[in-house]
Parts: sequence; C-alpha cells; structure tokens
Amino acid sequence: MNLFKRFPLILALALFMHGMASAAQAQEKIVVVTNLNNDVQVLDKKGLIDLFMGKYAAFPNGKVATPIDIEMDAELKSQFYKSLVGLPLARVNAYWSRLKFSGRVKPPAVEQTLDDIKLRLEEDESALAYVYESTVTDNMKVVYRFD
Amino acid sequence: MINVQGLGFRFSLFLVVAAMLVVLTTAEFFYRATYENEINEANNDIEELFQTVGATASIAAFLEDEDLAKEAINGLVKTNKILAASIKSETLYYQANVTEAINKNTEPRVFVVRHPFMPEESLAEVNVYPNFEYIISQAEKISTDNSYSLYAEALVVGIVALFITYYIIISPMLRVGRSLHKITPGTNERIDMPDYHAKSEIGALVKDTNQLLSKVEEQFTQERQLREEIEFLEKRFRMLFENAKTATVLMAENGIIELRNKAFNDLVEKTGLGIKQDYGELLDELFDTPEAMKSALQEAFARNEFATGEYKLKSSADESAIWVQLIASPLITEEGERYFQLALNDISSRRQELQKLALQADFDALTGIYNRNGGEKLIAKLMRKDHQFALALIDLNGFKAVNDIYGHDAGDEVLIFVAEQLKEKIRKNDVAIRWGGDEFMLLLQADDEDSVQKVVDKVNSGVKQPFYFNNETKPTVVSMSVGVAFYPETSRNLHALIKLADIAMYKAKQNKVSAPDDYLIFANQYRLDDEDMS
Repeated sequence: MNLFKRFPLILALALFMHGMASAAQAQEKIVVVTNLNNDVQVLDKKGLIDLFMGKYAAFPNGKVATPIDIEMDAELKSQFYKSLVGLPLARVNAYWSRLKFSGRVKPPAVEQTLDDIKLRLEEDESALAYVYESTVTDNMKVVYRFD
Repeated sequence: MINVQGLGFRFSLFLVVAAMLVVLTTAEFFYRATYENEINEANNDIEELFQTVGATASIAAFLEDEDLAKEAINGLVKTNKILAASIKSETLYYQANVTEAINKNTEPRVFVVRHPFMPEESLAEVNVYPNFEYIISQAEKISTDNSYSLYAEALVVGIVALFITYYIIISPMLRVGRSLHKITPGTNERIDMPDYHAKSEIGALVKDTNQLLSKVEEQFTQERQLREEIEFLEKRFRMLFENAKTATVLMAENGIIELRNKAFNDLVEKTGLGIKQDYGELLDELFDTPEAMKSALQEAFARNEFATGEYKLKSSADESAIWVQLIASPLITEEGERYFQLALNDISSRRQELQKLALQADFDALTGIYNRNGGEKLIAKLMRKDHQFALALIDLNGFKAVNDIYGHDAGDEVLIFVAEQLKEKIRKNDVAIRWGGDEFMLLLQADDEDSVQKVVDKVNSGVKQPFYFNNETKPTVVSMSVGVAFYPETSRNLHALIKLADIAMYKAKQNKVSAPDDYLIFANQYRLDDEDMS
C-alpha cells in the first residue's frame, strides 16, 4: 500500500535522473586537437572550415595539414560538422561528392576509431582531428574548443 | 443553302463581329499584360537560374576554384534568357559574353555570392546580363500567339454559337415557318410542335399560332355556312324572281330599270317596243293611256300606298290588245333612295275570255246578231230610257222544209243569210235579234206603221231572194211572217208587248198561202191590254 502511494514520486525521480544523464552526454564538448609537436597553438573557426572543407591543405604557418574524419563514431562526426559548418552530415557528404571529380580538392583523411585517431595523432605531426573533450590525452594538443 | 438575310447567318455574323471587336479592344490590353508578365517571368527565371548555379558559384568562390566558377557561369549563359554572366571575387574572375552585353548597353543584375558555410560572409559577385532581345521577342511571340488564339477562340465561339442557335432556335423556327407557309387558312391543318419545344418560347408561339388558326378556321366555317345560306337563298329568290309569271321591275325614281325579270322582257317584246334601259317615268311609254295610269299611281304614292289598276298596253298593229294588272309600290332603301316596284300581270287572255263570255251571253253564236238574251236586255234598256220603238217579230216560212231536205248545215246557212239580210236592210239605229230557232226580231226606231212597213218591206225583199243548194237547179225560197207592236202605244209591258207581236205574227202566218203579200200585221193593243190586264 505504501509502495503504491509513493510510485509517482519514484517515477518522477527516475525520469529526472535519466534527463540529467542525457544532458550530460549532449553537453559533452568537442575539441580539435593536433600532434603535440605541431607548431600551431590555436586555430579559429574559419581556419578550421578552410582546412576541413578543402580550401587549404596547410596550416597558417605553411606546414602541411591533414584533417582526419572518424569513420565509426557517426555521432561525433555529425556533431562536429554541425558545430563547424551548421550542416548535417548528408549535406557535407553531398559537398564532397560534388568535388570528388575535380581532383584538386581532397576530403579529410579517414580513421576508423578513436583509438586509431589517437594513434595517428601521436605518429603524424600534420594530423588534425576532433575528439570529445573527455577523451583528450596528454599526447594531444587542443587547438580549438567548441563552446 | 445559307440565307444571308436569315437569322442564323445574321446571328453568327453579329456574334463573330462582336467577338472580334471585343478581341480587338482587349487584345492590346492582353498583349501588354502578357508582355509585362513575360518580362517579369523572365526576371524571375533569371533569379531561379542563378539559384540553381548559386551553390556551385558559392563553392567556387570559397575554394577559389576556376573550374567550378566556369561551370556556374557557363551554366547561366547556356540558357537563352541570359546573354552574358560574370563572377568576381578577390581571387577569382570569370566571364562569358560580357563584352557583347556591354556593347548592347545591357544593365546586369547583380547577385551576391555568399560563403557556403558562413552565410553572413559574402565571397563574390555574379553579374547576370539578361538577354532582353530574346526575352522581348519571346514575350512578343507569346503575346501575339495569345492574341491569335483569342481571335481563333472568338471564331470558334461564333461557329459553335451558330450551330447551337441553329439547332436550338433557327432550325425549329424554320420548320415552324415552313409549316405555317404551307397551311391554307381556314383548313384543319396545324403547325407541328417541334421536338423538345413544347415548353419553350417557340412552343408557345406555335400554340398561339395554332389557336389563331383554329379561330380563323371557325370563322371561315361560319362565314362559308353563312355564304352558302345566302347563296341558297339568293338562288331561290332569283329563281322566284326570274321564273315569276308576273313581269316585275325594280325602277329608280328617274325611270331607269335596275332589275327586271324574263316575264317583263317577254311582255315588252309583245308590245313591239324593243328592250330598253327605261320606258319613261313609271314605264309610261308602255301604256296606251299613260296619263290615267300615272295620275292613279302618283296619287297612291303621295299617300305612300301601293297602287293597283288594269291598263291597256300599247301594242303593234298585228297583235291583239294587251291588258295588264299593274301593282306598283314605292320602296325606300336604307340609304333613303326611292325606288318603285312594278308588277305587271298580263290579263289579256282573261279579259278576252270575259269579253267572249259577254258576247256569248248577248249574241247568237251562229249569226253574230243579238240573241234573245241580248235582245231582252236591249229592250229593257230602251224601255228604261223611255225610247219609242217598234218591235217586229219575224217567223220564217219554209225553213223547216230546207232543214228536212238539205240538212241542218243548209238550215244554218239559211239562218246566216237571213241574219245578214236583216243587218243589211235595217237602218243604222235599228237592231236585229235572233229570237230563237227560225224566229227573228227587229227593234226599229219608229212610232208609225208606215215607216215600219217601209223597213220591213226592204228586209222582206232581201230575204225572199232564191237559194241554190248543192248545185240544185231548183231554187229554194224562204219567206217571213211579221207581227209588229209599238212601245209604248201597244203596251208598256215587255211580256205583253212580245205577246201582242206574237199574236199579230201568228195572224200574218195564216195569210202565208192565201195572201202572201199580207205578211205584216200590226198588233191590236187595246184588246190584248184588256185581256192581259184583267
């Protein structure tokens, strides 16, 4: 009897907890990182767009830049592009499809998992990737933070 | 086939002309509207065309990619509506046909090319030069086509309207009209109701017309009946008038005969006067005594009565006298004209008959002298007028023998001979009478015996002349015995007078052999008077 009386309260509490969890996940920030040894300390959003959308293949300091897309974590990728150019992934893919035959402009390189990206970032000085802020390691240098 | 004056042709002509006028007045407006619409459309099209290449131009400006810029600009220029286009950014310039466009003084439309990922940032400008020549020619073409289609539409509407009116209005009306044209008024023919028009205006027209025809027929029938009745009557009247035995004329006041029948013409022919238009006032030329007739008629007419009388007509010498009974009545027509109706009944034969009857009553048929009846009347008349006269009663001697020997015809001959002798020998004022059988009588104007003796002697000498019958050589002789009485000396009474003469004659008869010269004896009045008066 007592348990039934309290049921609505319990339910409300459970829902509240669940909501808090979701918000925590959505609010998880994405950062753009490079190899620790990269000279670039910081990048602006325009510079990121120019690199990730193929306008330039080099950092402002003239060194080659290799932007990297994550293949397996679609959520991360989608969230990144949404934040960067305000477009859904489909549009981004369409953009690249259009430019595919020009040959002059290249889309970002592709790594499968976050671990692959971590590895690439450690090995490749030109690498430029996006990860969740929580997964940033000591081997990464954050050059841009999305608010 | 097509009646230029007909409703169908007129209607469609007016319709087409009206449609053409409407098209003519509206075509300019439509042309202008279409033209402006087309220009606006073209401008919109240019905007839309730019939208289709806008993304490419945007990417080209972002990537500073000349190939992409070319693709975008060429894509624009490829369409007819765009003459030239150019893209210009800080790092990029590409154009197609711009020189030509500038030569033609074409104003470009300027579009801003924005950053594909940062719309707030503009990267380049695209100038689009519309192909106004083409746009205008297109607009004109479409406007003209529209106008033409309007004209064609008007024409089609006219033709369709013609067909519709023809089948809905004109055709049934034509049928009604033809039907009406064929109908003879007054017959039982009627207009057929056109199909599906029983409740339409045409149907109403047909109904009304049929009602009118019915009325006309009714009137015609009535009039025909009336006319037939009148004709029948007229025929009868004419027959009555023409075949009437009474000569009838209708005469105007001036004597002109308006109407005459056959009997009248026949009567006129008998008078010897030809058929003429008139015979004087009141037909007086026809009458023997016009004055008497006219005065009698005018007297009656003055009293507004009919006049009747018997009058003798003029007649040619060889014809016997024509007597008519005239009935004349004045007539006044409704218009106030005065006419006379004169009916002339030929009564000649009746009159002759009467005369003949009178003659037969008073005269002897065989000898032509007075008979006893006539003689008695004559004596009575003389006695009434108190004339003095001598009555000589004559009896023939020997007559019976002639009758017996030679027959009655011979006897008649003797009687005729004697009568002739009597007529011949007496004086002008004397009268001979066949008293009956072989008895004769003379009424002599005489009061003395001598003068009587003288006349009777003369007669006797004539009567005594010999006869030769049937070539007989022996002559036959008749003689007479005479008894004479005087009025009023012998007697004032007729019967007594005759009786006394008869007695005297009987006396004389006794002398016929003994003293044939003493054949005349005068009656003795006194003795008889005494006898008879007693």
